[in-house]
Amino acid sequence: MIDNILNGFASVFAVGPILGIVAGIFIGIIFGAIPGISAIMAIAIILPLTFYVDPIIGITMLLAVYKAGIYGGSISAILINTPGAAASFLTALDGNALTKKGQAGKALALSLFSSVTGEALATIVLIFVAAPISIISLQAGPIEKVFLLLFAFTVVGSLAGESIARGLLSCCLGMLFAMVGLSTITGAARFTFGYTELMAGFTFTPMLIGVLVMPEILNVVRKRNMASQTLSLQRSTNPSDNRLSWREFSSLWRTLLKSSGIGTFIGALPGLGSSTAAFIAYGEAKRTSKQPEKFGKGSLEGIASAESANNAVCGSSMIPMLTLSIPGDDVAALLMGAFLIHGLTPGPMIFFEHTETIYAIFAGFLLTDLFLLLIARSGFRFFIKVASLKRYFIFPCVTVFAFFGAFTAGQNINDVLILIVFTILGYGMRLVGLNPAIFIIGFILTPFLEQNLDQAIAIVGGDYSRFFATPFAWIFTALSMFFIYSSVRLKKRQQANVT
Amino acid sequence: MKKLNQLFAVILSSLGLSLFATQVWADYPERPINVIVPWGAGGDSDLTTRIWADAMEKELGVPVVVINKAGGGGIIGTAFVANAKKDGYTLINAGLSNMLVTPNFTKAPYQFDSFEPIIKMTAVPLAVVVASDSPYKTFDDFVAGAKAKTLTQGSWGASSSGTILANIIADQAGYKPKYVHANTTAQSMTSVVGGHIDSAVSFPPAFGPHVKSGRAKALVINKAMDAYPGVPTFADYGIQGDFEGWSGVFAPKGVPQEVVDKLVAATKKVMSDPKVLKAYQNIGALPDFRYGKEWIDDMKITSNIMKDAAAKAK
Amino acid sequence: MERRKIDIILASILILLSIIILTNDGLADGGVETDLGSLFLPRIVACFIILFAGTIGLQSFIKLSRNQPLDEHEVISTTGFLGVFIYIAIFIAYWFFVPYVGFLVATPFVMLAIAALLGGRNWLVLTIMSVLVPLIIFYGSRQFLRVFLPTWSL
Repeated sequence: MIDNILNGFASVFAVGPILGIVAGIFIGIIFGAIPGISAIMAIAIILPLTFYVDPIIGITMLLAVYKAGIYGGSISAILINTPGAAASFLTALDGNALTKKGQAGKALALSLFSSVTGEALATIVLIFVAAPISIISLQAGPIEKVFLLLFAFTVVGSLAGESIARGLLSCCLGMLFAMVGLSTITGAARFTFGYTELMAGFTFTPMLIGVLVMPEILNVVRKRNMASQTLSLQRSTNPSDNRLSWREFSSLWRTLLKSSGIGTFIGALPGLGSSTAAFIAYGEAKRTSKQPEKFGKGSLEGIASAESANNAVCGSSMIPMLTLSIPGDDVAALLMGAFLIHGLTPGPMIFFEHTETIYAIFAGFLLTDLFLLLIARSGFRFFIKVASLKRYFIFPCVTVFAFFGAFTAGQNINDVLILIVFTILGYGMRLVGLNPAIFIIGFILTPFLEQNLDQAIAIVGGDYSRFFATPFAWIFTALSMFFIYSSVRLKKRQQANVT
Repeated sequence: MKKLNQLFAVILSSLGLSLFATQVWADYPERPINVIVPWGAGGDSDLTTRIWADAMEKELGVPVVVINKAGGGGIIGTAFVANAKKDGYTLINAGLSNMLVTPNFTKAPYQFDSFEPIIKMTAVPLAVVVASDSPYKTFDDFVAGAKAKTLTQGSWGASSSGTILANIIADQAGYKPKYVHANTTAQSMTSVVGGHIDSAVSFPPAFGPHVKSGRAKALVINKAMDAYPGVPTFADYGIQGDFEGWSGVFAPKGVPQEVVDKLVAATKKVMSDPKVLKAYQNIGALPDFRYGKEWIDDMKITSNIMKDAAAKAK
Repeated sequence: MERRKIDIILASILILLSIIILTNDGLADGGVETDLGSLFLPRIVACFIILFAGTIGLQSFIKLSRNQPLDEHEVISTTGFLGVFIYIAIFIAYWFFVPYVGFLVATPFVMLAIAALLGGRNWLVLTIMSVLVPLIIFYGSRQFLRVFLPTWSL
């Protein structure tokens, strides 16, 4: 095992793979940081380019794009409050709050270190204990997943900022929007009112940009006449505000470890994705934090938990893909395509048939984390400089990127109309106190819930007691109860503190 | 340097496009060709099409761009191409499900006749798969078991090609399974291997890795494949019909014959390239290059079978 | 603006919509029979919407009828809304014109308009930016992303 890894490092330390990783990181950070263009798009486009290079180069490069892309989303989220993915919404919440206090450097550093920690831990899990973890994920069939999803909904709902009713209402609205279009199960056209265009449902990317990115632009437009608002970034003159001290970082190790664990676990279960992991980890961090009231207002723990969890998913979604040939999300499906095209069939045999290649790829993953740390760290000055430009330079560009991102997803001009509609909706939701990120999570999780519920019902047939025959059912029901109980207690404690 | 030339070619062609609106078909193609894949990136159809597009690009000398317009069970992307310009610059990745099943079983704004079939690239044989620790060792065992009590069978979508083919098989063999609809056939395989369902209908790209690793077993398959020796075919059990998923390229009805000929000729060359064949083999698809009248007639027969089945289901 | 009244209006609209979802079978068209049916989950969600929207509406109604003083987050400030409307109008025009005049022609105007809205006045720099950015996006996406943005089609 150790031998294999060392051999892997030996074959990755060559010009080709390192160039591939560096190029992948640059592409990923740029694509991730531009709101509206996601890492998956970059991967889909680069995929054919990797057909003709060595798999070690090709696959490590794709993975570098993926990891850097997920990280890149947090840069724009922190600096200009435009999260490119639902997973970065939480980072935007706390990170941008820090930026507004003039501590952009600290927020950037923390999000980078947390991302890399999450990724590296998940990669180590991938290398050493992929096999046992993959067996757990195999045990999770449709019935178990229904319970897992219900737990996820509970956590998301209990996080809801102002009031639980408003949070859950946002979630329900997201669920309702997710069910517009052709049902993948029955083939029925739901809520389409005769419009063929609605049959595909709402395109995700324009909706995401509309609900999460655009309201920030509208806020800027609203406050355009206030003198303090012409510069988009204030910088604190106190240097300790713009870097992360070792003490701060080490006080977070517990949060980082726990959130990376949550991210790794969620990532290993196919289908839930990085935003769910980020939400659950954030909820857990808030629940156990000594200062839960700081969450959403610039909490370091908040950034650390969300970022480490959503990046841990990158590494661990490879576990079921590699060991069981089960791709967990769309990115893993694309990567599995890349493996297949290179003649590497994922499955337990891959570790014996292509030992050298696979360990070289693993070594490449770890190297990617290191390079991401170095490259992104040296870019901070540049990112902050770009974000310190006057607002009337930044936001016209963001507008064009939003338009471009919405159009590009399906190369369809009607998607821009969806962007506009959801911009208005997202902004309206903020005005009346509904939570747009929970709306998006509801939208993302509903298809999984419906699919797994339908399968679970078909599997149990008439014997509903089988729903509770699995330990998963009990564990997750108990966890949900516990989460509700402790978040209600938390709310009470907070209220007691206020009065 | 080659990249730079390509860049110039693209810029020039885009300028040329706006200056001269008239088309001379003999020069087809002179600008990028878009191939719409009505499914998400990374799936079988997507990979199949990307391999083809990549090879065609070198053959034709213009970019062949794969665009994913997923959603609505393939309807959206397919309907988009049905209404596209008939100039051969917008093509669709067609398959059993979006061409023959969906128009008959769901309300789709297009029909099989809305398209001009150009080529068939690959086929994947359907198989009935069980976990290797399943009590059913042969298809006969399975049928007997399924007659004795209702067994669950994984498929993808109640009105999908998988369920419809599985139904035709079950009808002939005389059993009635309980279908469990996953989103993709890869997900049903996960449930089979995890022991959550009794069997599944699936294609080699999805079940291949599981069979190779010994966690699943194919009981019966549409066509014998070298990769899975000793698996009997449906015909061996007296079940009639062609149970395969396939992937091809269609254009909107009414494209000039020159375009069709040009694409067929280029594909012919591409399909004999060992690199392309190797790429298809790697993703588990069998190259099955067909074009012309005989192939189209075969599809019409299948289309009619589907029509009958749909009428029966109502 | 007072949020409580808006809460009550919104809650009533949502409850009404949910009742329509619960009672109207025509909302799902075609498809095949399954155990759950096409409208199972939408109806569950509709029930929850009634519950939560009802709670919010009721809370606001009680507060309103008791004339409790407004909380900080119960006031919706409307200053600067004009700008928001102008911005959205610019975006709608952008969407409308791009298919006709193309991305390269429409974008500079949109960027200049938004920059002007945000108070930008150094026209030389802004013009250079509004011409360069679309050019980079247009040719960059064509070369690297294989995305072909709309061109002039009049």
